[in-house]
Amino acid sequence: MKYLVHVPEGNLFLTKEEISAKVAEVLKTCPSEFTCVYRVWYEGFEGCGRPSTEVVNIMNEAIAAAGWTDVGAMRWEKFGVIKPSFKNPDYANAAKEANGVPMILHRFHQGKHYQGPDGRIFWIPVMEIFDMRAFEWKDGKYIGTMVEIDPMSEYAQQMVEVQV
Amino acid sequence: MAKEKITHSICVGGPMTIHVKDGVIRRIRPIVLTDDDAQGWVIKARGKEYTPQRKTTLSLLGYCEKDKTYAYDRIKYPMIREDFIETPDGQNRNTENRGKSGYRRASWDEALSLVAREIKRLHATYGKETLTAITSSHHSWGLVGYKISLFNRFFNMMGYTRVMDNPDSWEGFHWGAPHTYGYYWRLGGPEPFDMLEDAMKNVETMIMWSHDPDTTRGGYSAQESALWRWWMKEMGIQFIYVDPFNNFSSVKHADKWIGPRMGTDAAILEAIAYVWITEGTYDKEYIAKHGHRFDEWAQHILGLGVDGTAKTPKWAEELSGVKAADIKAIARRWASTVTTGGSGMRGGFGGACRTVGGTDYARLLVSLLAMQGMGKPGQNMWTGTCGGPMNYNFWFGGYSDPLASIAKAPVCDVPAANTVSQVLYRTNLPDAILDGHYEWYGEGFCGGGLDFEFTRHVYPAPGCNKVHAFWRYGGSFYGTMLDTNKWTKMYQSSELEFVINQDIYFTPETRHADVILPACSNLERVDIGEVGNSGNGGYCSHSQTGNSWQVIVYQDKAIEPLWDSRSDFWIFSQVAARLGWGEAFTEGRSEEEWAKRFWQFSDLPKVMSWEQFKEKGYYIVPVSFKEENVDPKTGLIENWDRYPGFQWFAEEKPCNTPNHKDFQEEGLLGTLTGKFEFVSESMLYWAPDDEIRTPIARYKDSWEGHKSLSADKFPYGMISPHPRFDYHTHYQQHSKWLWEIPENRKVINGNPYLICRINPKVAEEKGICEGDVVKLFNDRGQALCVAHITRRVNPETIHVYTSSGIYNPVELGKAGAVEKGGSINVLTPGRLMGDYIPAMVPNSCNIDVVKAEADPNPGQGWEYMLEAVDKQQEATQRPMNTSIEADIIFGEKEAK
Amino acid sequence: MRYGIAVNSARCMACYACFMACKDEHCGWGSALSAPQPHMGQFWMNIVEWERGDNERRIKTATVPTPCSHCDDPACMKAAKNGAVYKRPDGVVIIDPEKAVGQKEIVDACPIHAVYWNEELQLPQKCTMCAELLDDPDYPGKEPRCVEACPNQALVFGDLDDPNSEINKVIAANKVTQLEALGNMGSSVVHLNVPTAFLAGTVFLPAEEEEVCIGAHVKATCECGTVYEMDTNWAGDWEFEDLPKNKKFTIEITADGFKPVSYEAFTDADHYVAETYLERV
Repeated sequence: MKYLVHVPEGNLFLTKEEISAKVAEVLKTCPSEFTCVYRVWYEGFEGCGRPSTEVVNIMNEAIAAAGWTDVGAMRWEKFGVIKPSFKNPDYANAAKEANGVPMILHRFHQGKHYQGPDGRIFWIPVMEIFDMRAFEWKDGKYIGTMVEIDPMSEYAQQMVEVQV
Repeated sequence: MAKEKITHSICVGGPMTIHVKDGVIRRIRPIVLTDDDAQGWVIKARGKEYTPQRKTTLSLLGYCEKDKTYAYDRIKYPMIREDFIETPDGQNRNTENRGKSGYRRASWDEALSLVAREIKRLHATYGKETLTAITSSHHSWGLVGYKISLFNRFFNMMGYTRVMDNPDSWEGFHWGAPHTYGYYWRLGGPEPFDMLEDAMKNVETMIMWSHDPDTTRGGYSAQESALWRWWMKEMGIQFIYVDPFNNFSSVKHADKWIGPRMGTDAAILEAIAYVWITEGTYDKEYIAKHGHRFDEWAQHILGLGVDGTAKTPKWAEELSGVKAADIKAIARRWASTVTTGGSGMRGGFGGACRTVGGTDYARLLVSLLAMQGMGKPGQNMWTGTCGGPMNYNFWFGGYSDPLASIAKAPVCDVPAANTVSQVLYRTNLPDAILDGHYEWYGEGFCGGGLDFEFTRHVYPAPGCNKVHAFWRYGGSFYGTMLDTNKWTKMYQSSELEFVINQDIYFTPETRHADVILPACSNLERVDIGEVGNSGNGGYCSHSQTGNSWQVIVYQDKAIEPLWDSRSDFWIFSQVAARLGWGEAFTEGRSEEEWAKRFWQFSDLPKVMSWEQFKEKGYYIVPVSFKEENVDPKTGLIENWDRYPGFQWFAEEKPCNTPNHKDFQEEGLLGTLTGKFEFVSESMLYWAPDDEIRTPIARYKDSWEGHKSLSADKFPYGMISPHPRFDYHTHYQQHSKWLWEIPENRKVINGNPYLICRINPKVAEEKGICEGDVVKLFNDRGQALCVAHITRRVNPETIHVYTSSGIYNPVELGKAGAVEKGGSINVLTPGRLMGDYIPAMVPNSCNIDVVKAEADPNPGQGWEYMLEAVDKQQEATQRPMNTSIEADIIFGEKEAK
Repeated sequence: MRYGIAVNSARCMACYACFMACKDEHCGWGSALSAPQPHMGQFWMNIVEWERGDNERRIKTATVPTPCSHCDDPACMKAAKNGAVYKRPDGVVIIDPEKAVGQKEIVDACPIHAVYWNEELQLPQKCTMCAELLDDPDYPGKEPRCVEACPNQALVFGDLDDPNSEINKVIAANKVTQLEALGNMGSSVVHLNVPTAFLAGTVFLPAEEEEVCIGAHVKATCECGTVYEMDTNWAGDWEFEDLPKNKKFTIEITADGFKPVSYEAFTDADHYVAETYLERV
């Protein structure tokens, strides 16, 4: 059984195994924490047009088979709401820099709370390659002035994400 | 001469030094830097050194601020419509007279109590969703008072039907460009970072498409970048301007100006692509790596696609009126030299994107820039405004920053959340009210994602009542929205039981209200802001790179509020107190204390205490704090942390520019594939049957253009770009000095007629002489203007600026009346760009022109209303019914 | 020490900042040296503008900020009685707001129409070069309002008697263009780069080829003997700027492999001479 997969070079007719193998290959080097079938299709395959339902099912199975966990529905800015969306089991070891340039948004989650090695908790709404801007969270409120954290500093490397 | 008191503030024309003498504003000046202010940056390019003057600039509008503050049309007292009746059921209130009724003077107490009573009645009868409210853009400046801050706090706390703004100034880029290159979080605009230096070092040719930088001034960057463009011009860089009007920048700077017929820009872009593809003069390696389905698009350009039409320069000549030979010359210059360009101010604006073909025009322009290797040195999407050196690591909020609003934490303690889910859409607010229903796609400003363009909205929302009350705040849509005669009809509808207008001036919409609340200008209240800063993480981030200096200003109160006007904060607090949530609204803070919050949540405390900041009045941020970055010879800063826009992409490195997305760190764009999409997958994904915005961007004949049926009746294309002598309606009615500029207006019999520009051939055909009154008209409306005969428009085009703050119907309160104030938006189509594209298209407008007579009635027609109120006795002296709570809130409190 | 303003029309964009700054300073506010200007009707910093060119293909504008020139031998001073107009040692020409009352002749005397009549006060009024501000030790600014407002360095202020001043450097580096109406009059306001006339055109290959001709040689010979030459640029355009006015020119266009073409032109105004379609030999 072959399935139609449109790519810019033309129409490919691939078996389930070939599609799955391609999915696995795309995922191996993926530095992202989350993915979904459309991300793999458009960014990974450079897919043209929407994949058919059968191809979507095959790809979802392949993503799961590569060890990525189903996290249900997620809203993507690029793709809309996609279910299932998957979480990368190997995210901690995935690349966090390329060509000598760090990937700040892959190292930290924008808009989340982090606890530093000194126990202080910060909400970090702004993340740039040159700084992170944070507000300290204490007793249910934001206190003090805006704090600057160097994303490449020791302190930042030791921060752990927490829920407040 | 005794020393005058000096304060500072900011307006859309730039930052001001305000001299006050004996409690009266004496003069408005720019900020002239002192020796203890930061040193400037120096760009070293082509053997010379370039540094800005040690002073800020103000546009001509900034110099009108004093005149505007004391203007004849200030609202002096609260007012109530003479024939307004507070009927218990909201009916029979003589609403059909709105726009022609006079007003009576009221006390604040009476006006505010009426507002509170009506809101309670409306809430009880219909629910909170029955009140809607909207502001204009930038009628005031300052983080406390701005619409996303103060207005949002008040109305979110109240609960109301929010009106979504449309991206009026840059529709085609907002709804189109993301489908080619992403950047939906920048609302379709490119990254400007450090582009001035890049261009000064590398550029040979600048493409200024649909752009008049000296007029649109980077938005609110005063005249900061004017000098930059002279530097570039004097380097010998060739400037190519494309605009149906040989505009105020092109007529001075253009080495080549071409004036296409309105709405045909996409055809010229396709023809340029044809030249590059057939001659092989584009960056094939770059496209192979970064272009998606380029070959299919190229086939289409060559005439091998479905329509079988090759997009030759000759084909484009027939459509646009621009010679094929000129198109080819431009194409070859672009391809063979280091070229940077874009559309409109900031690269992703421009009148061409406000035509029916606007989205595909935007997509094609981005595509062409991609074809030449966008992101390589000197090859970028930039148009000469924004992109100045900036200290990105000095944080101060801009008005769209989520962190810089009193409606949001951490600036406030308890954020305000609107409990009403029903929304309306600005462009068609009148239709929604008049028809009782409206449906549309999209979130207005779709910065949150590509999918936000396609969300579905219906009004009334399920379970919600219709809107029966309107609170309008600052400005006049008669001059900026579409088919604006409809606004009169809306105001006169009995559907709107209650209309409040809160404004500084007696503007066109103000004259249609039931209750008028006089606000004061931002020279009469305390605030804080940064020049040109629209946000570092909000939309179009880092617009303050349009300035030569980063200037943060303590916007001190120069004078007390004039007459009986009050700050918007006071007005909202009073209403909130009467509704029972005054304390929650103000959180016990005065305006100055709120302003201090913004100082607190910024990097300012590191360099200046609050007292120092108030004393000095402003702070100039050096582009770098590091000693080693200073040129010892000159003391100027020659090095700073640069993050050049889009260069990371061309160099295939993770994105390092401010305000970026995680996929950009993976070398991907914000399109579905992460590449430049020459066939747009996002269009195929969400709206494959969109007729206007097709998967392959193409020129198409407009539903209103030179080939449409209406052209048989109305043969001229009216283009109405952003005005040179105003900003978003906010100056023209108020400062009559502007009426004295011959290229702006001509006063006849006390009315300031707006100048329109027509070609000598048309003038001759129609027997029109220079300075004659003419009528511009079509099926939607009629406007009287004064003709300026010029070769700066071709015979098919008539040019007249939009955004008139003056709307003077010769018959007050009559929709469709002849308009003599210059609000030519009464002529523009009410139809949105497309079924899936909720964009306005004022530059797709067919009109005719005829010689006419000036209105014999003297003046503007409505001055008598204000004069009558002035003559009235003082309003009945009832003591102000403030609660004790309100007294505590509004005592004079100095921020500690 | 003479105060002067250099007005560089080549840099002026007619942004009207100077115009407005002047109104902001003087409308409704008097000073030690002047009565208040009425709210409307006077333009002490007048922007003289005209459109240049007779073909849509090449249109430019001339924009000349024109304040009072503060002439060395002012016509207004000659026409005034009782010392109503005087020239200060620093060169600034002032109309005394008390002595000049009723003297309408002062208005009519000015050859560049820089003096205005205040009907209400029955007083002639004009630019003071903001001398009242320059005289005031408490005033923080160091320049006349118009100069301070200019974003393009099209207005430069300084000491004309100081050879090292910025203003003298700017004057030396640019073309001094006396306002015609002032004849040989020296003045403290020095105009630079006021355009005279241009001749321009475009050269194309034969029409059916739909191409511009790059590198065609264009020679314009003035009746006075001066020869101007250039090759058409990447757009096929040629242009000679700042030509002497009211002169006959012969334009000759040559390109290898094509028949030469020539035209006659006259610089009474700015002209787009022709779209030239070459013929192959």
